[in-house]
Amino acid sequence: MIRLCGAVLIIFGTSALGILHAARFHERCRVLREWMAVLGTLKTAISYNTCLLPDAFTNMALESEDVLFRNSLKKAAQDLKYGSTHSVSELWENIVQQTSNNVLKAADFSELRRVGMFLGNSDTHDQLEKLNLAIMNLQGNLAQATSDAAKRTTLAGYSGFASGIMLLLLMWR
Amino acid sequence: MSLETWRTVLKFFPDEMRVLLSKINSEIGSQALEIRWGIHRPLEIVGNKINQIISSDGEVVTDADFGCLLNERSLKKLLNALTLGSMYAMEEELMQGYITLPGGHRVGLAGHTVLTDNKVRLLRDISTINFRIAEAHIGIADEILPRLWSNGKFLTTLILAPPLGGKTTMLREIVRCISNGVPHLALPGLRVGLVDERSEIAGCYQGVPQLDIGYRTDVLDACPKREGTYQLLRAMNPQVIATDEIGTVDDFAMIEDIANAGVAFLGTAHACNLDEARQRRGLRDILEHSSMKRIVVLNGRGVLPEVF
Repeated sequence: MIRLCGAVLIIFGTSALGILHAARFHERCRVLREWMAVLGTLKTAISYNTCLLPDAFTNMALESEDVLFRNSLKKAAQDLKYGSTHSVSELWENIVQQTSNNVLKAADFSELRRVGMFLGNSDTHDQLEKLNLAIMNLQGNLAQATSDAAKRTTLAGYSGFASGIMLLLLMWR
Repeated sequence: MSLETWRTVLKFFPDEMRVLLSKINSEIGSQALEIRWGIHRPLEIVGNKINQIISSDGEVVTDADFGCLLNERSLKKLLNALTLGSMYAMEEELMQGYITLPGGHRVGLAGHTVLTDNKVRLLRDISTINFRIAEAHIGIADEILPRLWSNGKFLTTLILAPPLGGKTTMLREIVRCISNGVPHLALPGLRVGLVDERSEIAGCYQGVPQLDIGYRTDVLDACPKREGTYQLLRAMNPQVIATDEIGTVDDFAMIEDIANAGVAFLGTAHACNLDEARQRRGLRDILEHSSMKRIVVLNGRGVLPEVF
């Protein structure tokens, strides 16, 4: 009886680990979706070209449902004031780091960092062109992430279950 | 300028520059009207009676080679601090070559211009800045105000002064007095329409005047003089229209139209005296043929203006 309970626990445990691992793929999709929403809001703010970046960050924070995004955008809005020593790219880098939740990949980071390099330092037309390109590239990353997540979620679930069985077999051999 | 204004101005600069500027002798700081700086150019504090080069220790030096030079990285930082990292939002102002800050201070910029149809579309690769400090000088028009009125009506007036002669400051103060009225001189308040083409008079920041221009003053900010004048005449029913820096033939026609509408005009023009003003065609027409009733000549800050 105890052995049976142990076996069930082991299989549950490894399956849960597999599912948790699979959830990370979905989390990347969620973070990328959140980023696309943020960049969309930023695009609107810039196209209405009297909205300054601190105000845009505040609006983005208000619209975001993710607490990490909300807090980091609010902080950036507070730090970007007259006489500020922080550059926009430094503040943007902080936002990217704080919201990545350890799930973003190098391609996502490089795309988001590129936004930080140009953000605020050219005319509206140029800003919108570059933001559109960034959103388009992130859409590509998101499509890739969604397909990866679909494939790997089932795989990770099965792998967790299979590794539980394997562990039991090794233990009872 | 007061020391308090100087201290307020320093807040716009990033840390390292603020430290340097705060080392400058407060007597120089309190006389400053402009802070001029640029890539490989020394820091210069310009006032009505001063023009000082500042070293990296905040000391006054006579040799420009010992002045504190600005490098590209620092200029980028400074522009970031002055624009809140939002150059795109200053596009229209940048086309005019300046940005306006809270408090009405203006930062003039120079660099590489990009043209479209022979008009400046944008300014990039900015290399020099000129921080022009704004401050209201309440009471400077008290001496001349009674001569600008007749039977409770403001008389069409032109203010003449050389550059840095205080034209805009005087214009702003007269606008404030016309608008609020001056009870101790028994001058009633009038509705004023102000066309502030370069955001210099009211110092509007995001559409809100940062300097006191009186509570009966309607401002059209960053609006061309001619268009703004007719718009105000149509829409706001002003009793006085004020604007800065006139002197073209078109301006003459505009002033005549204002007079024909039964509205008084208050303007300024670049000229050291009446003779110099008459040498410019547009100004000559305005002085000789228009309904101009009073000419105020400013001979520098602190010197009593002459009224003709």
